[in-house]
Amino acid sequence: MKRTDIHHILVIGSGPIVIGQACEFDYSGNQAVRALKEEGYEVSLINPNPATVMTTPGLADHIFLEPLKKEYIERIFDQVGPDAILSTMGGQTALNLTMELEKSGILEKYGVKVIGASAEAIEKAEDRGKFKDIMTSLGYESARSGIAHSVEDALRIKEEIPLPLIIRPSFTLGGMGGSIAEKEEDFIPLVENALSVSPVHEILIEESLIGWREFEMEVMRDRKDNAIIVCSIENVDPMGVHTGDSITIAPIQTLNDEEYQRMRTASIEILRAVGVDCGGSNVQFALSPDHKRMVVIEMNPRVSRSSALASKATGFPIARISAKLAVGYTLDEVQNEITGASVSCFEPALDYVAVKVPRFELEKFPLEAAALGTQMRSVGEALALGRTALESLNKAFRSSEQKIEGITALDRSKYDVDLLLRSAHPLRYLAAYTVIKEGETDLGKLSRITGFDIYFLSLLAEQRNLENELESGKLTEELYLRAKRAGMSDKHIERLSGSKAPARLVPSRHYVDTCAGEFEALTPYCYTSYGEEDEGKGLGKDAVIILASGPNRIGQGLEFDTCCTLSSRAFRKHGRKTVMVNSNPETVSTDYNTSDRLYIEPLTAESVLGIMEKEGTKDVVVQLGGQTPLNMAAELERNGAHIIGTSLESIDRTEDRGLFAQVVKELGLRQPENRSAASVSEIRDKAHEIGYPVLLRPSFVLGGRAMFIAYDDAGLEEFLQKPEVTISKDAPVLVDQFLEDAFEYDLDAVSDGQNVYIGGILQHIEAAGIHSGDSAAVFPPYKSKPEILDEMRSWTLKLARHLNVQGLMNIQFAEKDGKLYIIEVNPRGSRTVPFISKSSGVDLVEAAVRIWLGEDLVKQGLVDAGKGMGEGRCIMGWAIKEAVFSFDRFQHVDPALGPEMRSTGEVVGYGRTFGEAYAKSQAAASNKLPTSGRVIISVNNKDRKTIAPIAKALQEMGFHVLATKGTARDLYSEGILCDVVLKTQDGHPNIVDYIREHKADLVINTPMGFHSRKSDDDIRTEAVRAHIPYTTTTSAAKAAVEAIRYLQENRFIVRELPSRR
Amino acid sequence: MRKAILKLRDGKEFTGISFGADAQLQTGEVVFNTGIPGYQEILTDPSYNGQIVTLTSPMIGNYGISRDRNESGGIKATALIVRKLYRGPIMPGRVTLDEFLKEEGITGIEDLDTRALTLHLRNNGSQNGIIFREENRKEAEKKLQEFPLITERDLIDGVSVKKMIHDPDLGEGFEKAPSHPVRHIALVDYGVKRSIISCLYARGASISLLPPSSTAEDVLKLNPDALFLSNGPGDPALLSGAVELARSCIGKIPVEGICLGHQIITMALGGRTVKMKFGHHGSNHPVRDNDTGRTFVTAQNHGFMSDRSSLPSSVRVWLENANDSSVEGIYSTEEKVRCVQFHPEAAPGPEEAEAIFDIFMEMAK
Repeated sequence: MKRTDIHHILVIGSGPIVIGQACEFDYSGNQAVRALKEEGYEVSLINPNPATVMTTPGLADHIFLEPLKKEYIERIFDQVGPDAILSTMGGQTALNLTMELEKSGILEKYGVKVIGASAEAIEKAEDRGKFKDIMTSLGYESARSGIAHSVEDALRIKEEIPLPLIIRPSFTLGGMGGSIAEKEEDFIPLVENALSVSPVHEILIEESLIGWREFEMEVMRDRKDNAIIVCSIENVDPMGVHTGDSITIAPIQTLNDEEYQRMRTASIEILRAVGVDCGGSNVQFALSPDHKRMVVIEMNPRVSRSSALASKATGFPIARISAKLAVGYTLDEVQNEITGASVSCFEPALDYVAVKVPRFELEKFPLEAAALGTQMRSVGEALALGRTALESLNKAFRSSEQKIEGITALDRSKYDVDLLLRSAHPLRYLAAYTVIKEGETDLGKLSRITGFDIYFLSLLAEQRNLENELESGKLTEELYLRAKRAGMSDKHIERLSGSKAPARLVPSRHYVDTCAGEFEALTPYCYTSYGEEDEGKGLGKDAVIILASGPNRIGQGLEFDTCCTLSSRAFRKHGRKTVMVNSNPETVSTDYNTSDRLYIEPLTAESVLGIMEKEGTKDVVVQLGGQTPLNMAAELERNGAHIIGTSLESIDRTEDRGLFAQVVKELGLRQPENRSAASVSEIRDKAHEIGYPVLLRPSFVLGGRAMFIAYDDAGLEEFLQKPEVTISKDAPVLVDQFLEDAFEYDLDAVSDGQNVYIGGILQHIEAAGIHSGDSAAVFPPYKSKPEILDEMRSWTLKLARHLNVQGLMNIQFAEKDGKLYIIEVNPRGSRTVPFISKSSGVDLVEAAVRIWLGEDLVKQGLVDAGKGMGEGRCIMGWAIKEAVFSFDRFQHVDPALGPEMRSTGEVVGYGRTFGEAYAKSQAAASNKLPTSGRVIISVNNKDRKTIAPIAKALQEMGFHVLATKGTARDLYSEGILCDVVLKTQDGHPNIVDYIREHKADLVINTPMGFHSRKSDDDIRTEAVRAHIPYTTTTSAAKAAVEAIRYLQENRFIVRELPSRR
Repeated sequence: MRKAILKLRDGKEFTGISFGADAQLQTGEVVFNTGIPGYQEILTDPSYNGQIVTLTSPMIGNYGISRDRNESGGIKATALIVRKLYRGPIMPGRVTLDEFLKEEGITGIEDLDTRALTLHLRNNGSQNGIIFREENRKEAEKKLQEFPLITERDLIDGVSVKKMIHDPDLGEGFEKAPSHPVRHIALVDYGVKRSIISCLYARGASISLLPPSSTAEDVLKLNPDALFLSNGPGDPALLSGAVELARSCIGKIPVEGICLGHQIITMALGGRTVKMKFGHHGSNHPVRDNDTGRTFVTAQNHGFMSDRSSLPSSVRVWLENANDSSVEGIYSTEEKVRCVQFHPEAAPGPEEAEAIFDIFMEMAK
């Protein structure tokens, strides 16, 4: 029964997207808020991530985009008075915050109860020592291990358990700071690192189970001790690879009933012993290859990425049900919405196979051969459903959008296949396929080398046989059908067989019904397969297909998913039916009630055309899911799709550099000098023609991949050496004038072709040259002349009318020496749309949808008749968006920013003053701005003027300012006296030593140019390691000063997002 | 690869590829089971005697067969239908599913649209079906027309003991009979699963396994602590002898039962059983204990059930299905009767209902 002792619940979100904590918590938080509202509770929400669906006005009663810090939560307790907090929906961040609130006595002070997971249960599950004791008392084996609080402790443990050893810090998310020590000399540094990242300076050192099989159970338990397994998951990758980085398959494939039930029973007993009695948890197991030893690895007493995956793999909404259990219901009291005929106290039965393939950013964060380990490295994941394991594997690899058409052999000229076979590497499974394809038949031997269970290698052998048949040439109808049923794409089949498909097959549609067909499904959650009976019928012409953005990657993530989700809501609100297509299981867009119909399918033209046929509609929205839908738009249109909104021709005119230059010229606008070069010598010529510095980039890229700024010939040569740079007539390299020291702007607008409504203009804090996605940005612009802003507005109107933009558009501008330049135009939804929508109180996505439904901007009331233009304003005072990085996952990668996007997420800070907003944005991004202490300044020559007032202000605010020699000299000439610190190359103790020993609290270091880059790299890398805030521009340093002023006042202000404009 | 056809009594046909023994007009009631692992236990469960089993879980055979885990002497199902048969290598010491079916002379069909078949059975009810090759179509269609319904077949005879056995040996994978038994249970075999006996052994019971034709006299002269009626295949309404046996024992000694045994006891108490549209076959059915309010997930396999409205007032509905409220267990404290419709011994399925055996042991005093 529902609890009546609580009335108002605060839901804690997970904050920015980082590796290990992504969209899945927007999905779970969103479900939780909805479930709690259904029960009539007042719901407050705190999450500083503006890209989320959950923080969209309309659902929660009070929305706070404030830092996830106890001081801000305390102010929320004061201001709106919740009497409970739900701790389990915001990942490790929310759990840790809850523990902090509990320990600091704030919860007791305000009489706030923790619901979801008690502090005691969190402690038992998360404290590795306590957890191990519980396992022993239950009679389950855990890996032999010891707890260390110091290097000495660690060495003692090493005497008892031989290398290799796994090192895991307590209380970190996604296994951060974890590692595997294989060699003597690695041990101490890895221990030191792990101790430093654990908030409680505690690590677990345990025996290595590398090469064992790994399994996971998603469990739910209620206060009446009812417990169920929602989903069982088997890792295709063996132990030693973080489960988030593993290819996984559901349900478990290789265990017989006895072995499966043993794991099932253990999972439930563990939840009971830990005390999880109103929610979900996952429990991880390792099994020795001979299945004789079962070892419990860990549990997470909260919803997680795997619970999101399990929800999408089974149709069972774990977060929603967890929220219901948290407020007192039991599993047998909650209906299963999918069937409407069963209760939630059952275990989903699957009659399909679900495969997840992680997506890595190997280009941005290169991995050495054996780079995967206990710490998660992938940035996203794709889920595929199919009737058989091979079908799902092929679909999932294709869905991961890593330029592979399913399971394919690796090119030996590019990869050391034999090394990959022995390495924990994202390509290991494909390396295994490579040798099988080459003729390896001893699967037992291969299993011993790779650690893959023989079952998963057999699936590869099945693929090999099929490929061989296809390659032998005769593509009969029978063979074609078999290939389709194995999950292969037409493109792949045609490439292998060298012939056209005999007659295109229409896929059959199946429902995900949680019960393997036993009951009729009420919710429209579908996948497709081939050669089987179709279920149900299409929605018809009335429906609109929305193409979402696929697996998260840098530059394309949550923001786009939010746009897709909001558009589905808007279409449905205005009477159209929607069909969502996506492969990303973490998302709200793939929640079963976001759209009238949902397909988990690869985002490829082939699957979308199949879905069009199934649903009987041609209307497709391609402008909300980032680059993925746009890339297939032309193929869709050629095959009869009607692309909603801006025409493909107009899109092309903005994407093709030549055509765009023409547009700029026709309209009398200005853009940086730009050329296009189809050969190496041409690149050199064009660079000299324009003059250094030049911005170099390959064509057709997202997130600025492989973009590069060359200051001289040497830099140019470095760019040309990059392996990912390809130069050809079809893919020329673009050579642009680089506007050094310019200010950049982002403008988001919506247009009906005649009128334009500008949602807002954002000014970047970092100077030009840093990718817009990585730059902190302010809305409204904080230091711009009105005439420049007016020019932007008039250019926007010209472009929108000229290109007949129907829907969203984003324009990037730069201003240098009072002149405005247009950098690029994207006639589609951009990353900043959710941020601008929230901060201005106008949902730009809904405005676009209404345009598509025939209601122009004047009718919508956004533009006054005859004026042609309207513009939003920031309803929160100042809104500052700050980028959040996951550099601490890649310690060997230089965290410097450049034209290539590196950030994984973003946060917002709202404030009445600029300082307040910036301080909050930094706090929310976990950049700990100091209020006292030491500042080290080392800036390049051209920044030395602008840094002087900053250094002065810092001194006045009580900071001890140190500077490197040149900087100190220039500061002295400005009348500022500061201590000198050595540069890295000048001996010890130098700037890096200061950082390493935590003798610095803030570092201001602007790039010194090409030749001292090594030293700059060291400084920034060490600062990231030591978690010391650092800025790479003087404008960011200036913003920091204003923020520190706010912090020194020691007031924590929280501002509720208004529900209406 | 040879094609095989499954034709249902209502005319619907499905095709697939045969494996195991040859397709030769195997006929039986077509049912589906939604459990995920557990094909070995299902195939060898005598309750499936006379039935063509469709597994909704699409990947079957992945982990092979462990010889010591059979629920009876061999495969009892008439035939097996799967979406995808795993044909790759398996762990040493196990045999492949294909080999196992061949050894046992049982036919299988793979690559058949099991989802469509399941939905068809859900919508149109369980019914007879026949497996054949195209060349035998005529003969097959005739046989299907003439083949008796499940409610008309005696399926127990072939799957139960012919004469009494004391403490049967279950083999390596199961419990041994207790050397110092604390109870003695007379278990009437209508097709008992080894796991049921194993669960009783584990709790210290010695077992007298009696043939299905046993009478009350046969039972009572053993002076057991309880009469236990086993699971088994087919329609309980055909078992008048068994009902009579139970009726005569009730009030004299504790009477317990599982599945078919539960249905027999229902009738012995004066209640009725009815055939369900497609029954409960799977490892995920929630059952609520009306005494404690707890719900647990159970393994089920039945096409008939107790009709709640027919139960006498002396009987309490102990357990019920949390989805459709059907009767899952009854008791009468007065008459010392307790029985359950589902399978507390699991195998395959969740183990959490095993505590039911403790309750059985407790009553058998």
